Amino acid sequence: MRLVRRAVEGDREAFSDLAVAHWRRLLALARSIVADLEAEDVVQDGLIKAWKKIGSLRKAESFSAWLTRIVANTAVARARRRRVFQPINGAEVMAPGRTMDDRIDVQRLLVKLAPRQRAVLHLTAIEGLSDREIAEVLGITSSSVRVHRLRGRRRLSELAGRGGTDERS
Amino acid sequence: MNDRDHDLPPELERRWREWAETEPSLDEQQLKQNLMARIPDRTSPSRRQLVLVAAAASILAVLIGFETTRQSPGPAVVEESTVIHETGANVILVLREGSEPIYVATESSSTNIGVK
Repeated sequence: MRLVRRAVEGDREAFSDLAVAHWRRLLALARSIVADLEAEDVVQDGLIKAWKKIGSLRKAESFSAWLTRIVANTAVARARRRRVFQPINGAEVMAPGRTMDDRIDVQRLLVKLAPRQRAVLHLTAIEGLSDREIAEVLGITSSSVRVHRLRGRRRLSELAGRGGTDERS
Repeated sequence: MNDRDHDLPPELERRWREWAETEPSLDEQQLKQNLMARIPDRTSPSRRQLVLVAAAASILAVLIGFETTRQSPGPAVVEESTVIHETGANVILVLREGSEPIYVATESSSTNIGVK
């Protein structure tokens, strides 16, 4: 909390230390929302936005959720703007002759989801947050969180079940 | 809404976790250096801003003082050539161009000010 208070007062060394502490977690979230290649860029953009807004942070204990929200929103905006979710390699996702588990290519599956669904599923499955926490992080209601998760899970289950191909897209 | 019916396949969740947690190309030190280079220093500018604000406040105070002095009530001007000063509790001084100063006794200090 001391670092957060120092950062709020304008200490960029303290802010950089906080950024480093959250770096890998935020990067994992950004990876789930945007293409892998852009994830590091998105997180750094989010951190710079956070630095500019940190004077408005009222509760030091909310820092983590506040920062996650900024990075998640930055990533969602980037994903919507680009409308393309490019895997870094063009490898065949469901190459014939391999087992179902071997053939799962996360990036190729995520491309079929809306950015907000990716964010909700990541925060649920990877970070283990509750609906209320996810709602706070993403700035949406808990019922929206449930709807996004349900739709995302259905879609992924359908895609994984039919080997990642999608006749509708 | 039954979430259990729509859980991610365990293998997908495992792969997703592994993929999301892939080693970044930037390590923590590089990230810190990048950030320090990209985020503006907010401490120094705010000190500079304080100095600027203090300087602006001083200038403003001087201007207000000057304006107040400039606009402070002077003697009452009845005509262009006639000026009346209140010189005492019951006395006014009438100055006319081309004539001697005249002291006029009044009943109260302000009653007859401005009357020729």
